[in-house]
Amino acid sequence: MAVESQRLDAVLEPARTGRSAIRRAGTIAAQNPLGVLGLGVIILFMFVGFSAPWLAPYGANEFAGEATENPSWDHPFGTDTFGRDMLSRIIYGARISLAIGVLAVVSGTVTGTLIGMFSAHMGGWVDNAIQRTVDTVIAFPGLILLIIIIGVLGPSIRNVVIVIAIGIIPGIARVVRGACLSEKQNQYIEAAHTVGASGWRIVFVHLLPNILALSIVIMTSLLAAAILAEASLAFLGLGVPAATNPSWGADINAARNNFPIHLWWAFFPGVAISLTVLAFNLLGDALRDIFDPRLRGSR
Amino acid sequence: MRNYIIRRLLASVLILWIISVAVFVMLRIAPTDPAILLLGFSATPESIEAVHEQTGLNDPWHEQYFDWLGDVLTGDLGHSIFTGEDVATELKERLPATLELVILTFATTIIIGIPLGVVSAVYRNTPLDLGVRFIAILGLSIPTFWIATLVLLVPSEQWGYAPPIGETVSFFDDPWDNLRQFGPPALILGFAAAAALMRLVRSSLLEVLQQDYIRTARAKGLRERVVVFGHAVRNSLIPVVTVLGLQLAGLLGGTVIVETVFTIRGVGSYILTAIVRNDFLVVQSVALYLAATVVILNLIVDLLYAWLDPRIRYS
Amino acid sequence: MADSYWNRFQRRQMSRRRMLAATGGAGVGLAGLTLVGCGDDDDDDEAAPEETAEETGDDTEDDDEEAEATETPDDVPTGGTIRASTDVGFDSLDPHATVAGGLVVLPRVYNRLLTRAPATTDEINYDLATAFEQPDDVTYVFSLRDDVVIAANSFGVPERPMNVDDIVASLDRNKADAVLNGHNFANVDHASFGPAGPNEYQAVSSKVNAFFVDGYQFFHFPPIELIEAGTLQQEAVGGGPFVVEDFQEGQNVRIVRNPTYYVQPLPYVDAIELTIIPDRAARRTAFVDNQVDLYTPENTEEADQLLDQVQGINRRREVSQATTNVTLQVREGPFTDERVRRAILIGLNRQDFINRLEGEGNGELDTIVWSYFANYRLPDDEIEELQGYNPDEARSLLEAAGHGDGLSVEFIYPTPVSDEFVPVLLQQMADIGVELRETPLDFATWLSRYQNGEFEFLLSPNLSYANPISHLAFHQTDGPSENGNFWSGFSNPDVDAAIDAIEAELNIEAQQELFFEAQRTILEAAPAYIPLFSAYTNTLIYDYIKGYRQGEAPAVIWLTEFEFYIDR
Repeated sequence: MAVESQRLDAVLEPARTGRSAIRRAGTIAAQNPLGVLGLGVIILFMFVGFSAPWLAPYGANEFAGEATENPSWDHPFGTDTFGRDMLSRIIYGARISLAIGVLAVVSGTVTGTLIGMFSAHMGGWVDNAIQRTVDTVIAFPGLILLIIIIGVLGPSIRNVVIVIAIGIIPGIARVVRGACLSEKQNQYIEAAHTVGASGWRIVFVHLLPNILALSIVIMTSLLAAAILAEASLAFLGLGVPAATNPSWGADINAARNNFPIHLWWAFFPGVAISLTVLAFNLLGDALRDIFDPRLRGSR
Repeated sequence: MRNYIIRRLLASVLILWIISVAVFVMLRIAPTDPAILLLGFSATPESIEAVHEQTGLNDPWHEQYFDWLGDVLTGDLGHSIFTGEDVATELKERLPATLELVILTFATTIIIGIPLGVVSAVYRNTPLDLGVRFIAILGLSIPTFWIATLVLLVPSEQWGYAPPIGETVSFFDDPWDNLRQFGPPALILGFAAAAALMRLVRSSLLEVLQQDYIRTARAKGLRERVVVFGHAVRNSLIPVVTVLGLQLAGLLGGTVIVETVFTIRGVGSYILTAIVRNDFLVVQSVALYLAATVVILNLIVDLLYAWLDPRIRYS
Repeated sequence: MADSYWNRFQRRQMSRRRMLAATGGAGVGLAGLTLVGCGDDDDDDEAAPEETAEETGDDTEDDDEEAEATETPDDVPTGGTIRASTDVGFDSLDPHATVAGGLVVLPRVYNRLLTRAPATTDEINYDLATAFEQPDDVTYVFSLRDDVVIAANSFGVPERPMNVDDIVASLDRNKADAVLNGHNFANVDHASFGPAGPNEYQAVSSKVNAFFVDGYQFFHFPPIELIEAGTLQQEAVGGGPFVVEDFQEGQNVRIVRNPTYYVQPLPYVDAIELTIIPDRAARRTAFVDNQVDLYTPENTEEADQLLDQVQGINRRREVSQATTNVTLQVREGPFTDERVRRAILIGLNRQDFINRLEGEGNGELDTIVWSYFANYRLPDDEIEELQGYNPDEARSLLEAAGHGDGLSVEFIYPTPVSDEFVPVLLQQMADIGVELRETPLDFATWLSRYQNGEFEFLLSPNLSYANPISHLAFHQTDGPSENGNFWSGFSNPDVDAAIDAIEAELNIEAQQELFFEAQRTILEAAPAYIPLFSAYTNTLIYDYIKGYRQGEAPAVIWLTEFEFYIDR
């Protein structure tokens, strides 16, 4: 667990040192061009998602043209079987894919962090029970866990979010618990104890901010996984209801049926999803590099 | 060591028990009734009742649970509500395909992942490193089902080549057709997994390269190639091997999609079909079976690790 | 009325199950399944126009695409294996409880008493029976063939002729077990059944019912030995044209020629191999690569494209036996008002559905009896008059009913099975001021809500039946099975009387006129069950397969014809 606590220092360091942080950030960026690229793409997609109603030339479900048109000036990404404009659908799709990814990852991480902190804080048999449960979920092959739960819950956007979040919780809980345990031994926590701060106060005032930084690093990589998970569920017919939701994964799935004929219909959502996932992976990779102490000396 | 083994064994049993309860309860609280799916439009209150009666779904939960658990412990995994097929028999038939897929994927992962990781570490922060990492991460980012579809369709539509589809070919019946069938999906899965492995090898090797004995070796004037390949790589692979063990377990679940696209009759497509149909008895048994496989693999990895590194046992 | 419902009932059940298996197996190509996959793969056997030897001799093969179409049976090359694929699983060989693809296999392995050609319900093809007589309106006495010998097998069933005991045993089995497909047929529709003499079987309907015999066309008769052994799920042998050689649940089945089939020299091919390929892309690839001999494309557009791309293939194109329909809840809520129902009826643009989902000209507008039963469907001009698309009038009707500011209802449908219909439906309804609050449900939940009448506005895919009376049954009081299941709540004494009159009319011409009359009555009452359109289904077949019929019945139906042969 030593590794995690060192990462925390690294995360916290720039924030504490004020102006030099900017210079530091510049240096880090220069050393991680791929990470910067990833960040750029993410910002772009987030912007696109947020401003979809203004950016998209048509509504996501508007019958804007003829069926299955090839790309043209009117429809740069072509149209689907209903004549819906694929560019507009991908722009609106950015909302859904990102929203599902972010919601799932944030709720999963928050829950996982709370569980991990709770587990570390309580110790004893509670800790043991929680950790065994966490081991249990981790023991389960990932996608199969998701399809079992979605099979039970039924298909809806909310359930897709819940399912992906459930997949995230145990990993986070385990890492956070470890980080908490090593933080607990730190001197400032001991100091707080001596001053007479209550256990929960220590958790929320002292532990939480530190753990949060760690969580953010992990979340970046998890976002990539979450967006892929959403698409995979859509492929298996267990994802977001596809009739009117312009989810990228669902669009690829729909296009697959006509794919040999209408390449474009499937092509652009595929590119969009690959790009987004790639961006999060690149950023996550860079963050990991930056905070991985084993590599710091090598630069 | 003996205490450690006993502790780990007990923990594994406990985990499996929790899984059995969790899966069982989850399927029972599901709002959908398998009888309705079984009967379709001919469902009447009477026929639904008859199905419940025949499949034991009318019994109290705890009875159902202990019946099932008792059967599982004696090796009887139950029968499908839909087909009456024996789950254990079906698993036995499907396991070889999934296992082969996992082994081939695993091989691909190692063959691609380790060399790329080494190259990336040795030439760290050069354009080569950036390029390798970019491609690896790209492989991790493309949806499996999308690339699998492309790999299946493009050669067939453009060049008239297709792997054997439909019947799952056993390696021992026809090695060539078997590889034509299993090779592409294994490559697809393996390429994605290789990205993760590559990253691991890279950071592990970078760490080793900073160790004192490497500095010493360099100081002694050994050529860089000897330093890297003779000393560093071998040592850097020790943590990698542990993680690989865990990855192997994870792969068991990762085959669902390629099994579907390439029509390979494996465990993944089995559980997927069962889930969509709400075939309770199949889902709970297969889920428990998969979990058991993963737990046992984890146990083996842990024990190996403890055996290699005595400090673990006493912590 | 309830009596004759068995056959419709069974049919529907089988279709449903197949669809479920399809959604389970794949998760892909589901959009396609709703319309094509289920519509074709499903119903085929159900309405299979099987021909016995006599008819083959008549040279009914009307393959206009093939020069050899005029060949006499003597010239027909024999041997070879037909390789087919399906998107749905066949999980059991039990002919009384089979799900999914088992239906493709079982009609070739087991015998039935008789079947009726689907589109012209007066044509009967005999199998185990050679004829039947009706001493009175409810009694049917079947004379049985004595030369249908059970094929050689490894299940310990003697190679003896099938007899009346086998038939009675199957009826008994279905009567006893509520889960089996034929339970209602044996239990409710029959007043009695049993042997009527040496080689004679007698069935007594519980009431006068013109469609009673229809129930038998899907009733397969396994040998009594297999029934008693309880091994029907895995073992199958009978006196049919083929014998199961290899059956791997969820993967494939191989059936081989029965050398002792009573109609010699049928079948011409040595074997049929049916492989489950759940994924559409994989199915297509297997066909393009000639690993299988036939393929059902997503739609006509894909069929056209493949005809261009792949050399040496022919197309079979038929109107689907299935439709998709809208059902309105009329127990309470806005649709209790006839004007609101009529607004939906004429606010649905069926041509627009066809254009958007199938491409122009690739489907036919449906009305109460949908297009598959062309002889019984109302003529186009009457359809236009009684339910023609008229959004303006729909809006005024809604306004008159007090929904001038718009109407908002909950709309449930099964996802992903029916997804592709939804965007078009939402748009059309929005055009007339009806807001559908979209509630996609998984199939099981949807089905259960449909069954219990818990819906306001519902979309339902792919129902297919073997006779036109079943189409009307959705409009009768207490629903299609008269037990309140899957009932919209619609009840109209005139409609009930019109449907009852058809069932009691045994004369086929008079019956046909009654069908038209009933449809007019239903349309005038503003129905709660509204069929949309029937697509054309395409089957692409390599041209070395010959001897199947063109344009008579839905796509994969030819798999239940036995006169096809391979000529390379």
